[in-house]
Amino acid sequence: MKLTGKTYTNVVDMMRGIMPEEKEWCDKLENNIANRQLSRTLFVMRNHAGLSQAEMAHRLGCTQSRISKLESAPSSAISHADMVAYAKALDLSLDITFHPKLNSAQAIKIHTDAIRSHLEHLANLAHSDPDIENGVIDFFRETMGNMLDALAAGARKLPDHAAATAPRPQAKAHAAPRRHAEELVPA
Amino acid sequence: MWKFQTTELYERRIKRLAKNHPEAVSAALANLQSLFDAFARGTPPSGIRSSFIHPEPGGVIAVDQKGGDRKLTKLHAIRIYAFPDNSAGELIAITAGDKDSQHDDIKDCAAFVKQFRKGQTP
Repeated sequence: MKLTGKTYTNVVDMMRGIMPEEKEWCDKLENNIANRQLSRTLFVMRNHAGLSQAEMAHRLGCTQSRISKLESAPSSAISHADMVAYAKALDLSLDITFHPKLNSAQAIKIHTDAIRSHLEHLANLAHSDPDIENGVIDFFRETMGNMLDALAAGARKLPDHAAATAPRPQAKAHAAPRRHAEELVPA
Repeated sequence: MWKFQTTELYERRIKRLAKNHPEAVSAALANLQSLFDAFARGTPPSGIRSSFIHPEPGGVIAVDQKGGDRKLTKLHAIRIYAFPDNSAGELIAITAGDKDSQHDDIKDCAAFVKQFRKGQTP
């Protein structure tokens, strides 16, 4: 059985790649998945906490069937109270934010700033303890590889003449021998 | 970052299913996206439990159409079979089918995983 070698970051892109002629059906699929964004978040949070639907139902004082329905419901069927209850049961905080619509370039810039801020925070933590320092160095190495891979993967989807100048994917960063922190920083 | 990868068999089967049972396939794919998001969040395969998820031999996970649009009460029962390759961060869609093909689908998945673990998957 052969792998196609094609990779996708979500099911909609996957199906658009497999059935480009079925645009209307793929648009409906995209809407269906977008309409379940909240329920998917509830599903992901519960599983990440290691709870079964029955255990979650016990914490919320409802039936397992109610949890099952919530985790597959359209966003319009999930109330603020449902989200608050999930967050409380999983000992999480719930923040709702409104922000202007961003195009992809603006979103990347904002996320890059946020990533830079988190990386600086981690780098500062690395000064506190040798074990933390090693963990942070490993994380930086892995993240650098992943980010370069992501950039290269995006660039490979550029038109052919532009893709020639795209960065090439990096060897798996975690396979490299341990190095001192300064070596990770580009000159 | 997790990614999907597909087999040629999956692409053939899902195309045919989507043509014959578009709503059921859409619902199962929405569930597959939920499974993918859980992996992307760092949840181990053994920790993901839901009524639409069915563990199969060899670490394969079958995802069905349950929980789709409840106005469509009688969706055709289909399953998408996927294998999480944790080391590569890939969820491999191996095949898809319905009740009639379930036995053969599971056999196909077992053969794929065996081949994959031997590193013989092209």
